[in-house]
Amino acid sequence: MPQRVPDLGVGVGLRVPHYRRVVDERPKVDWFECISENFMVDGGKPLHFLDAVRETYPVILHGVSMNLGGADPLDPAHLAKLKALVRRVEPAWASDHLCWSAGGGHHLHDLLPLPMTLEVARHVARRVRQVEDTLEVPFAIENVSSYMTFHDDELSEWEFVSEVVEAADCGLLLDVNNVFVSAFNHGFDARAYLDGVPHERVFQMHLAGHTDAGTHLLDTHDHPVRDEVWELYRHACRRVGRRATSIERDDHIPELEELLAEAEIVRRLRDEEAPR
Amino acid sequence: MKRLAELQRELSAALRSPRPIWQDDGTRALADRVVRGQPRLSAARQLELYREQFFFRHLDAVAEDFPALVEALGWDAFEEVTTAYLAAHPPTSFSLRDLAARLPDFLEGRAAPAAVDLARLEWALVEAFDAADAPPIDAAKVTAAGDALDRATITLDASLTLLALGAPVHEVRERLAGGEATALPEARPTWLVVYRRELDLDWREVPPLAHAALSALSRGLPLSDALDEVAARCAPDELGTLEAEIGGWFRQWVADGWIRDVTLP
Ligand SMILES: [Fe+2]
Repeated sequence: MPQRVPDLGVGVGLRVPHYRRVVDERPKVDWFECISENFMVDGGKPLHFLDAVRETYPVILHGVSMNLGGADPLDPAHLAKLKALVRRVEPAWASDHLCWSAGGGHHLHDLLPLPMTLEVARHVARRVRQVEDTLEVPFAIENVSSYMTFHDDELSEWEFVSEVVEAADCGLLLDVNNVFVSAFNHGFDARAYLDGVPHERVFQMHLAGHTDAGTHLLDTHDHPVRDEVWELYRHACRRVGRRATSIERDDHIPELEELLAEAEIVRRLRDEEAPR
Repeated sequence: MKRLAELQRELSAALRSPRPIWQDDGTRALADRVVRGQPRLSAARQLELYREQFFFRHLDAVAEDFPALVEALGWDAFEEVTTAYLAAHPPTSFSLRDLAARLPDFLEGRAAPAAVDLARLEWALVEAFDAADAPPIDAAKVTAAGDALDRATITLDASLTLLALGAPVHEVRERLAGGEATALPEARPTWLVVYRRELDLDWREVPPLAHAALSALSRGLPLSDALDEVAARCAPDELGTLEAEIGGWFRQWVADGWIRDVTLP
């Protein structure tokens, strides 16, 4: 049986330009998602504001560079820092991406797609278990978007994701925008993807904006959520159910109000499609 | 997982190459061998998108930490030298925070001396931003030490960096903050202390003797030995200044949080 995590409601990614206002004004949002690596520091503003936000809100730790799909060994220093942060924040769960981000000892700081094979799925699952055992909090992996596939691929992306989360016995952070982007780039059916992953393992969903580059979509997190993605989120709510959902914005970060307005749309759609 | 390791090792090298894939037969062959092309995006184009992203992302990350350097060099020169830096020192940490740690040294001989100084200042600010917090020093402890203070070693704040610069490049940061033009300043020996006050970054010019004393203290010399070292290198007319000023400097350093602790022998 998958672990159970609470439905935290509607969250927003905590970003530097909003630190001060979030702490001073305590806006109406249920929780914040923090990029773990930004807080693996000794002191100063990041930890000061993290602690201040944590006094009022639940915080979820979302990592970007654990290299879960890498062949290089997991970095023990990175794991130790994440563990210390988990102790400090006490998140209901932590997460990172189903991807690789370093190879041959060099970090690329990107979310790179993996060859989708059973062998790779089992490899990633072993590493996820290692992270779960270290952190001692529920752990979820996020589906990434991509614009590259491999000759080696033998599974559909949703089969691959399902293999990993089942074998690792972990949660899924279902990024609906990433499903949309990859569906366009690789020509699969986004709804079939959402229908095909194990719904009981979904801890959380992500929503973000992307950029249309003509030949492909880029997962840029620099726009409001697109209408087509809101539609897909409705479908996800109907199929998966009512899950903690957060808005991600990493570039062209707007006023806090704009993100809070998007969070209110999430709230309404959740209530309409997956009422309590 | 030998096959995965080999794939990632090859892709990692290809993605860090400063040369576009169209100019690189080896990478094109790699793309065709491992990446599945599709009608809208060839295998090479798919790989090239990720290669471009590698440079966009890392140039952006460095530019964010070195805004005055970008202004002073202009974007094209900044991009050129930083691209060469990334090829010479590819990222080895999971965190982007330390990405540019060696950039100031790398710029030596590749950029004007004042640009190197500016890079040293901006790197010191990166270090100060998230340096460890420390409680204020207990003033009573300093008072109670009395004459024993001479033999005490001094703990400076973790955020402190002492810079000996050939030009007052902090003025570039100040002008940039004020939205003014940011040409590199004329040469003038400058002794600067970069630090964090509570949560906010700051810097201050100090007299060369104060800089020398702080530098000796930062190397762990007890107070009197540090002052002896500075005195030994003083010109005769500077000795009087050192003796007259050191008490006031010390009180100021305590008040500014530059001194976090004194350890009596
Ligand atoms: Fe996401």
